[in-house]
Amino acid sequence: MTHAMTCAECLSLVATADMTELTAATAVTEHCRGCADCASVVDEVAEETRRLADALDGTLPGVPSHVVALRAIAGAARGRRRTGRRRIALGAVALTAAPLLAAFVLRVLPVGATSVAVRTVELHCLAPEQALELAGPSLPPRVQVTTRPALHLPVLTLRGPRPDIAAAEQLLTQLDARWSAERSAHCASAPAPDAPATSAPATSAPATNAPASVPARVRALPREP
Amino acid sequence: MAPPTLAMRPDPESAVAPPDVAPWELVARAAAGDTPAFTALVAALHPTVHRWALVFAADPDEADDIVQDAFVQMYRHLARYQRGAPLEAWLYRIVRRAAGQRRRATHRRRRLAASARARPERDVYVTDPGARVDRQWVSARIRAFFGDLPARQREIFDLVDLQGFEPSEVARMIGMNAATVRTNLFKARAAVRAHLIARHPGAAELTR
Repeated sequence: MTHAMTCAECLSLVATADMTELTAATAVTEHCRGCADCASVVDEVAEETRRLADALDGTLPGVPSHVVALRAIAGAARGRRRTGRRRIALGAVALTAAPLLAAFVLRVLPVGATSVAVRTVELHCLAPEQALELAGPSLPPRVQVTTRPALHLPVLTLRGPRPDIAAAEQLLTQLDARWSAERSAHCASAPAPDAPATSAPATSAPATNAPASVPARVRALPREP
Repeated sequence: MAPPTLAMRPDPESAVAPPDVAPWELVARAAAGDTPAFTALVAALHPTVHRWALVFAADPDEADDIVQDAFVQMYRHLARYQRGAPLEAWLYRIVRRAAGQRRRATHRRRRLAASARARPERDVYVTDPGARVDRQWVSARIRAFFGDLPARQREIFDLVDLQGFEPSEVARMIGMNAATVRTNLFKARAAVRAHLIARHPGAAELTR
């Protein structure tokens, strides 16, 4: 024996059902055969949906198609002209602004300032702290120098504009070589005074990895009295 | 209920009869600057586009405005239509976008306009008093039926229940998940049928 559908169950199905799927075989139809109230609701739902569909389908456009087409062509041409004018205006603004921006950039930032490099200089005789202490006053101001005490390696990492980096590297190399010559007994592996220092690739030691206790800039180092 | 096809239904009032060519062929010709081809294309698609626009609009006059905007955008973007792609989905998205832009513009204008005089006048092509009354009756029906339905639910209800598209087709047309389409459809049905179900003598007990 099958469970007879109640009005509540029927209405809850009708509330969201696709009315075209309510065929004679469905439980809703079966229930409606014996329940005039539910049958009336189902009929009204289907009828109202059909009436609205008919009303919408039967509403014809108020403007003839050839007029719509001609207006569309004219409207698109108007839009293109407007876009063209806007592009010309934007181009003019860009042409005016570009030299001003270039002048501003060149005035504020010196040539080469944007070309930042990182280089690691290996020391043969001096300890990194000693090299910093000795070379500090003479190093270019825009060069950041960091030591890596955690690694126990005699290296200094330089970061700054390329020309300044080259100058700082040359200064540190010369300083290290001079000390090597004077204290050759202590620095057995020191290169000749004129020999260039070996340098690691630029990416080998990013300055941001330095411990917080290491002074970031030479000028910030404590001086001995 | 009409079958869900993008039939090339010619506008009965149009002076231009659409030729017996595929829509994409007309699109290609129109994109190349062939004005008669574009006119024929508009004549063929106009009733369908107007039917879609009716659901986005408050009344048939606003639907005419949406149709006009949609065909302007269509003409501008004809070259972007890819041959073989479903024309109805492409066109429906254009109509939808045009309706959205018009709705935003109308809201903005309504905020700016201090009086009804400031509102732009509509083109009134339908001068026949009988036709005018019919259009007003349709407006009243749309308002009564869709009344407080959110725009998305209204759109999905129309496409599935009134125009007969499958939910999966609608999902493709409006760029939405099919499950979301079904959820919105159920909500819309429940909302528009609530007043009819409330007439049932036992409805009061159902809500308890």
